[in-house]
Amino acid sequence: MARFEAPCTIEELCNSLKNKDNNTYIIAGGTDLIIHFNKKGIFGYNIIDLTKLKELKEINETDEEIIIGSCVTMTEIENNPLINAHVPALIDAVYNLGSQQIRNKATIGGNVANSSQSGDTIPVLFAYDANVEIIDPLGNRRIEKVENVVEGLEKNNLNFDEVITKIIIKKNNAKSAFSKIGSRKAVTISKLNCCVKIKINNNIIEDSVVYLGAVGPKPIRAKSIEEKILNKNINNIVSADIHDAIYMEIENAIPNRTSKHYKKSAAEGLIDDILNKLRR
Amino acid sequence: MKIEVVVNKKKIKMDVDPTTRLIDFLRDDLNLTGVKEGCSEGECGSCTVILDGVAVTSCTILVGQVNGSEIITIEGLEQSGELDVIQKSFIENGAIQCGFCTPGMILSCKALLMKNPNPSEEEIKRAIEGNLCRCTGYNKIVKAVQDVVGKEV
Repeated sequence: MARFEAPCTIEELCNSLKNKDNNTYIIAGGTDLIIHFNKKGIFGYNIIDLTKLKELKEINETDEEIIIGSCVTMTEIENNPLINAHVPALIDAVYNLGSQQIRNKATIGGNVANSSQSGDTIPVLFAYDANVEIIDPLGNRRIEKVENVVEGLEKNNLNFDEVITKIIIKKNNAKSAFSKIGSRKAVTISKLNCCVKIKINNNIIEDSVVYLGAVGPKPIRAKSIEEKILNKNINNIVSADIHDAIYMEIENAIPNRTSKHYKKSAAEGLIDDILNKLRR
Repeated sequence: MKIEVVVNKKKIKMDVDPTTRLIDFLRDDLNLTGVKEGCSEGECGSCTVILDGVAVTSCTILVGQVNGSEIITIEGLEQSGELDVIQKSFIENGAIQCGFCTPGMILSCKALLMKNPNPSEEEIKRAIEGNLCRCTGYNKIVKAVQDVVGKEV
């Protein structure tokens, strides 16, 4: 019978990881993994379930950072005032992620580890230059940029016996917003998503970070859009002003995809949507 | 693996293959066939159950993960022969046709009402966004939920 371990302490987790073989899968919310098992006809596997680890389910803050346990669910993020105050784009991202049922189980650590090209929290974590804490079987913890962990197309750069324990986001007084487009309004996988993080001084955009997602294996930094919105007035700027930059970014990201034509005009709408949110 | 769960207020101890999906455990081991299998990928909501107070799709959960949890299926809403008010409201409002989505749909609504007894129309729509219905459309379903607001659920 399958081995199913649900460690309750870090020590127990490390012991489970020591014995992990290639037929053992690490599960958090399971909303992607179990579908994967089903689709690929994988059975007879062993499981290490992370969701009984209390440490991985907490949201904390220090003076400089917001620390989100890797097994915090999307619903818990949506309802968390700390994240609402410091990382508003992450609230946008989880608000429309999957369905109510999926958000109740899916975790932020799982979204990073699953590294889907359409992952909705990933462009936000990239824009905030977020880190993850990773633990190995010996209990050693290391910090790595989310951007280095996510490879995309459902691949990550973690060793097979490593686990993400925390997502660490630096506090800053930036404003941010996220938006996405899929084939329908709700419960949809992103065909294109975007996170914009800016600093505003007297209505002027001073600092800008823009990431476009689902236009390649992992989100890309859209530098030309960043430059175009810099020093503009947040109350006046519209996507038409930066039309060329938006089209160029999509063209460069997916030059050989027929979907580029759709995604160019879709991106314009997306940017308008985000600019509106940034004025909230 | 020995698991202990409370299903529809009944304590159950059972030896199971922990990698069985929750939906298969409920349907095949406990005969709770009100849990319906539609898409098998967490999209359609037919297999929705209430797990520790929140709606989840039982096709995306392994039974090993629910050890120690409390689960409510559609069979658990009826109390001593009487249907729950939300079930009655679905019937009265014609929010049922073929009935395949109904158990999941009702449990999503029930989970909402347990948390928020006075939901707005938007909140109702959001709670059932993960439940697909191909017969009645959604207006009657939303109306059925609005009708029980203020009543004991």
